[in-house]
This record gives sequence, structure tokens and C-alpha cells, in this order.
Amino acid sequence: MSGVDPAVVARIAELAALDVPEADRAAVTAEFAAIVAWIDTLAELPDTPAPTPPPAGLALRPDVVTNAPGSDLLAVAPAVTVGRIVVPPVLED
Amino acid sequence: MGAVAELAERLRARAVSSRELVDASLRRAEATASLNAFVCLDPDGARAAAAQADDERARGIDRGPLHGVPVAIKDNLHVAGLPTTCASRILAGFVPRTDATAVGRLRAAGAIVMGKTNLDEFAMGSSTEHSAFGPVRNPVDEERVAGGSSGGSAAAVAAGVVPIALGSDTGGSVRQPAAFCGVVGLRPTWGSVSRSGLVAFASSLDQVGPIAADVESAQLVLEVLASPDPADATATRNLGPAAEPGRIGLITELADAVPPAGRSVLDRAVAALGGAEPVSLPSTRFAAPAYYVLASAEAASNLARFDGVRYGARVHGDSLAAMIRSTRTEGFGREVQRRVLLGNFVLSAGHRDAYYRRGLAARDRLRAEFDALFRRVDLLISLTAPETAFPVGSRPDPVAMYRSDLLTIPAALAGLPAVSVPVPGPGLPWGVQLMGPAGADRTVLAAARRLEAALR
Repeated sequence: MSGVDPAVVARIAELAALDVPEADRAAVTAEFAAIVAWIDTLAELPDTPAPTPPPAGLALRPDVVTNAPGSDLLAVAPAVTVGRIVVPPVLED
Repeated sequence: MGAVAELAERLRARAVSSRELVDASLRRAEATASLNAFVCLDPDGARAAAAQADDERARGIDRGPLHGVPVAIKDNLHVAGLPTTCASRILAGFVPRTDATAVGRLRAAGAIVMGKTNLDEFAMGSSTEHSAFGPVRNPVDEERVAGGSSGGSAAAVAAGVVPIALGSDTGGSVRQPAAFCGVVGLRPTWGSVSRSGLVAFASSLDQVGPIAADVESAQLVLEVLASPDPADATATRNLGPAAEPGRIGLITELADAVPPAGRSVLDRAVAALGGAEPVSLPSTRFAAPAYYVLASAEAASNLARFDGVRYGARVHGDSLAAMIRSTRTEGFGREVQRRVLLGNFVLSAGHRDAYYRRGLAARDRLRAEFDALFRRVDLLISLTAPETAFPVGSRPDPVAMYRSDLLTIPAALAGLPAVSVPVPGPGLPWGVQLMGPAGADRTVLAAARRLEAALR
């Protein structure tokens, strides 16, 4: 079902924001193909609609919106300026 | 170090002080350093907290059974002022400013944080070999793994460094290492313990749970942890009454998946509980593949935030995209990269229906089957793992590693409470798992105590 090949791995790596070096690509493809072959077991799942899942049995809480604890966040931030958290620059000069 | 109730008794009677417990814990950690159970220890912080606990006790303040008791925390839970590494290079230098809610609740109950324990990177693994800090060794046999991903927490308890430790269980990461190390591991009902401050791996599955020397200690921790939390909308205390379970079901598909040595351990546990009726859970054959599809998909999303911008390490790149790719490629270890790739694959156009949606359908089917079973029986029993701890480095094939999770994954997919109880005997430890309906944690623990007592 999967048709995993080096081109697929390269495309997925791009989506994942990861580099797969050319030298590793064959090994990663073989390993990835074996994993995908295993999860292909899901193709054997009956096509009949799955039974309606029961309520999870978990207690629910009131659906109430509350304000975010902004001042608490600022109190523990490493650095703050004019009511905002200071973060490192994304790219160095 | 023993059971919490016993330590609490000795602390209340002033037979031992919290300072003495902390010093003993630090000595034991040093003596067992070869296990590699800890990522960091905090002797100064622990001694200061112990002094405060002793001072409070002298003034008549009693915060309960955890007051003055040392604990260890898996290093994917935030402890204010200590690094959170998730055993990953990508979080190098990251120090949280606040405690995870679970850690804060332990501290409020008087527990003393000794340090952070080793784990599979971002809790992805079943052996604690996938750690930037190296593998955790099993205290029973140091040539063998401690299990994973909470291997450091299980090893720290089994080695007597601490009486209790926190782990996290996404597909079995509390229960399986507890079984491998011969201690108790509890996965509470999903949503009964806050995940605020737990670094997310797969949010529909992640749960914080205790590892302890005995069932009662695990329950004492659970009673402290379980609570609603404004910082986690999914957290709702939901443990149910401590009903005495009547009917117990033996899941035949899981019983048939274990070797003869394991089957005899399981039979012994079933006999100790007075017998169990065979029941079927047909969709267990889809559980492990479905879990690896769903958990990897959620991991791919959750770990997208580690991009070199906001947290931890950054590797230079000529552009923003290059910087992000370089940081993630050098920062994530091989197993994490494997799962992030798999998650992106199963969510990508052309594959989403074949994998992700089928994974969800398999989960729905499994939940429905569990629900039907819990109309017939009160609890279910299986082994925790189909094997004992295997030698370090002996399982390089990822699919073989993934398959070994087949006994712990079903309860995780269904959000059910499950506890692993050690079975005493010669050789390496085995664990037996008891599972109950969502919100029946106290019933599961009542049966676990009965099993523990019967097996002694």
C-alpha cells in the first residue's frame, strides 16, 4: 500500500523540517518501509463502520471561558519589556 | 527505600528525619550511579526542602503521608529551576520557571524533589536506550534495560534511591519499566491527572503516573495528584469509589501472545485473585499499529514547536528554514526523527485515509469492545509485557521494539486506568497488569492490593 521510496522519504523529511543526508537515505528508506509495512495491518480493519464509541466515562467540566493568567506568565518570564515577554532573536546578525 | 506509609510512620514518630532520608537517598544515588537513572540531582534544593519539612513537623504541621518523603521526577516534567531536557540535545539549556502541576501538588503535600530521571528522548521508546544521556541499566541485572520510557524513574525506585517517582505513560511508559524493574507502575484514567508542565508527546494519550515500591504508595501519590487544574482543561479528578471487584476477565488475545514462562506467571496471578473468565478483545491485533500511527501523528504536531526559536539549542543556518532544519536534525535523536517522519507520513495527502483515519477507527472499535467487556466483568487482567528485561543493545529493529508494547497499548488507547504489579519469583521480574473502566482507578488499585498481598 505504501510505496515508500527515497523520493517519498525526501518529501516527508521536508514536511518534517528534517534533513536526511544522501548517504543515509537508502538505510532510512528501508527502515521506514518496514515500519509502514507493519502499520499496513490497519488495511485489514473491517470496512463496516466502527461501532459508535461509548462516552469515554470521563467526568466533564463546565465549558467556561476564563481570562488567561497574563500577569502570572509575565512574572515568571526570563525577560519582559512593555508588558511583553522578550524572546531571543530568530536569526543572528 | 521502602513503602511510603512506613516512612510516614517513622517521620511522624520522629524515628527518622526528612534530612536523614534525603542524605540516605543521595548516598544511594551515588552508590547506584552506574544505573544512569538520574539526569540531574538537586542536593541543595532537596536538603533545604528537607530542613523545611523537619521544621514544619517540629511546629506540629503535618501535610500528610508524603510530608518529608523524597521523590524523583521524570525529566519531561517541569521542576522550577532545574533543566528540563527530555533526554534530548534539542532542549539543551532550557530551564523552566514553574513546576508542572503534578510536581507542584507533590511539593504542596510536602514531598521533596531529589532530581530528574532519565528517559527515552521525549518519552519515545520502550527501553530507555534512546536517551542523549545514554541507557538506563536495570537494577536487577545491569546488563539489561530498565524498560521505557520512564526507565530512570523505575530504576530509581527499584534501586531504593527514592520510594516513589513520577513517570509518564503514553503507550505503557510507566507500566512496562515498572514490570521490568520489579516495582509498581500506575497509569491513571486519562484526564485524572493534570498534564500541565508535562512536555507533550501525544496529547490524546499522555498521562502522568506514579512508580512505587508497593501499591499503597502508588495510591497515596495518585490521591495527591488527581485534581482539576485551570491550566489543563482535560484534568478532572475522576477516580471512582474503591469497590471490591467481583468478576475478572482474562483477555485471551493478550494471554496467547506471551511465551510459556510468562503464561505460568499470569496463571499464578489469576489463581491468586480467585480465577478469571476468558474474554475476547478482537481488535487488539490492530492496537499497536494504530497506536504508532496516532501517537506519531500527534508527536509530529507537538514537536513542531522545537525549532530553535523558542526553546533550547539552536544550530546556525543561512536562512530561517535552514536554521530550523539544522536545529531539528542535530537536536533530535534517531528514534524521535523516525517517529516525526512517520507522523508526517500518516498525515500527508494521499496517506491520511489509509493510516490516520484507520488508526482512529481502530481506536473507536477497541473502545467499544472494552465497553462491552466492562458490562460483563469488573476488571481485566494480562501480563504487563510479553517478556522480561532484555539485554542492552539487543533490539536494534524498531518494529520489533514497537511490537513488544502490545500488552500496554490497548488500555492507553482507550484511556483506561491500568496498574502493573510485580510478581515475586526467581529470575528477572515479571509484571501483571490490571485494567478497569475509565474512572475506576480505586477499584483497580483495590484489586492490585489484593493481588500484591496474595502473591507475597
